[in-house]
Amino acid sequence: MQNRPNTAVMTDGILMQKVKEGDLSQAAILFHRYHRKIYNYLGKMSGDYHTAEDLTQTVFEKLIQYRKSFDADQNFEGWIYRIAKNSFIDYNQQQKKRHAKVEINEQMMQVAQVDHDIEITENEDKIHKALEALPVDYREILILTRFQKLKYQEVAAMMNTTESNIKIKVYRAIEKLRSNYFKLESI
Amino acid sequence: MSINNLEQERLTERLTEYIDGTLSSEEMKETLQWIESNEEVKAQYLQLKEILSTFEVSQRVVPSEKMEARYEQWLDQATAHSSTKVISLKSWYKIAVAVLILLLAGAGTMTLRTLLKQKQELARVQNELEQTKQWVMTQLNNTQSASQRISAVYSTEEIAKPDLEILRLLIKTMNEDPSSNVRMAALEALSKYYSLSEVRNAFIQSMKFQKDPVVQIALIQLLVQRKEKAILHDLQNITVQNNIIKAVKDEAYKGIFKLT
Repeated sequence: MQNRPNTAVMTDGILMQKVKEGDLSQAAILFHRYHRKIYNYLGKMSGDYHTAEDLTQTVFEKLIQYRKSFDADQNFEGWIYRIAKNSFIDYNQQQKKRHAKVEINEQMMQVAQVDHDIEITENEDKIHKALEALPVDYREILILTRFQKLKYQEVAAMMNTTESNIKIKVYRAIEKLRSNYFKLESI
Repeated sequence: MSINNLEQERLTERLTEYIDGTLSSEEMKETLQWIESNEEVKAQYLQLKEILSTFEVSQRVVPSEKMEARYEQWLDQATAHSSTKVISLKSWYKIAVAVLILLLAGAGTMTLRTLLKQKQELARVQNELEQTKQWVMTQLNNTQSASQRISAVYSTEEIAKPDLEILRLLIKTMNEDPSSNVRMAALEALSKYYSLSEVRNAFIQSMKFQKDPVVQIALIQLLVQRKEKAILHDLQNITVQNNIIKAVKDEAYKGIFKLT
């Protein structure tokens, strides 16, 4: 379009609103802006970057499928992370149906799989395993705050809760991660 | 000293804040003393330091380039599918116009009755356009929903020649709407009518009082692209104001450089 402002300054909200109005091509810009973050978030959540690749595709397909539910008043990043979390939960449930339900215990932690295509240090490997052994909510909160560096306030808005509640959960999750991590060391 | 559950939570919080450096200098000093005087606290501090640093430096994996290509391919198919299923308001008008052209082309052979029908069809389309205009004006004044205001802004694209009333409402929206997204949408819609003096002046005037950084940057880019030297003074003002963020100042500097 003639005189269209540079898309670099088009906010995520505006682009998503255009997608909602039927201009699906704008989703490619949103994919370009967010797919690395979502991919890493899903990689850390699932501990498997091959799965993360497929799930990232699913998330952005859902962006089109559920475009009508986007509200211009809400934060796009929070909205896309919610889709990512739900996609991960759906994936987890499908996995559980496929395999017998197994409690996460020390034995499972010992054999927990991480993606061996990615070269990682021994400590990173332990962190991945300790993270996988956390309940999903704790795992997510740590990934968002400590790895993706989102502010407590942003995560609180995303999860419809208060900043102080997020803060409490972060410290509980850190404590649990510490306990899992050093349990692995003693195995 | 042994640590109970409640104390454990508070200890984790305090030690994490100490590692993050978010405590006051007094609290930092206190915590350091605590770590140095208590072996159990010290052990936990060292453990936390190890896992937090490992966690935070753990690799940010770069996805393969084929991911983007795969999504774009999927998007192309989705777009094709969507355009065959959904007839947008815009398409509806195109269809109406095409039908009218066909009707007019055959006018020579038409009976008086058919000509009357054409006239009715034209009146109906004009009426639809008027209704669209009224709808746009109502929605732009809808204070409840930013989403509906953005829809209204985009709907102005359906009106071939928006009248002064609509343009003024768009200018007001660009300058005053509480939502950045709506202001940006109005700016984009208005930019198509840049050749109209009312719109051009509105952009130049908006530079003087626009406070939203995203809109400020878009305005600077648009006016610099149109080589509007009249904004040089405003750009210089932006560079010296303390309450303006760096990204806007940088854009102003770039604008000054391009215009001089």
